[in-house]
Amino acid sequence: MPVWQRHYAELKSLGADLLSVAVDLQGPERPRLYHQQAGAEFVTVVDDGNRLAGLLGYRAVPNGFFFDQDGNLLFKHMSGFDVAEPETLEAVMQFASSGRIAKPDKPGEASDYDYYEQGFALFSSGDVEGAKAVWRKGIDAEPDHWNLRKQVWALENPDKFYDGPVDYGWQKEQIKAGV
Amino acid sequence: MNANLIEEVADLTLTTLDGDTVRISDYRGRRLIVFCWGSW
Repeated sequence: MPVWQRHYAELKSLGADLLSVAVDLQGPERPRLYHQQAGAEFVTVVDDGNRLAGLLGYRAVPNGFFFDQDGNLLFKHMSGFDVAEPETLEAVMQFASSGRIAKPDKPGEASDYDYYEQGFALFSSGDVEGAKAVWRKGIDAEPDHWNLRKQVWALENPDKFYDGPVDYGWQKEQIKAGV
Repeated sequence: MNANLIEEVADLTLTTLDGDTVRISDYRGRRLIVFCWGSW
């Protein structure tokens, strides 16, 4: 987020814009902290119904999608889209300045989003345990569904996510332990 | 991505942190980079 903000004025001056999409199912509170800490001047939306993720077909983040002036989707980078990496930044700036795409799509897998949606409906109605049970079923069915896995982790272990920096060491331990 | 899906993406109403709404189609006329992330 801070890296995007550092380049935002230049992107705007090139005739491009940014839209930040937080996929958090818990609503705007957590993403707002990141947005504010970065001093972000671009818009952040919360895809808490997972609707954009469903349409664009991703189940892990971070992802990038490039749209031309007419709204055509020209390029997608599924998973591991990190503007702090020089290659990604170069692709972003090239697209912003010329509309050209530097490399082919990095595809991910499309899938159905039943688990996500069912769990979200329960979560929204206040049934957190029911939501977690559905999401856990989704994780069993699709072990690489990181949006679900991390969401469940964050609900069950908020101290590993929201008391200071996200504890990625802890996440690695969970993966190793098969949680 | 078929034309219907493109339109569906473009016209999907998304809610900002401030509670306003925005659609990808609102950005037409500019190149748009959408990046998706999670706080976890």
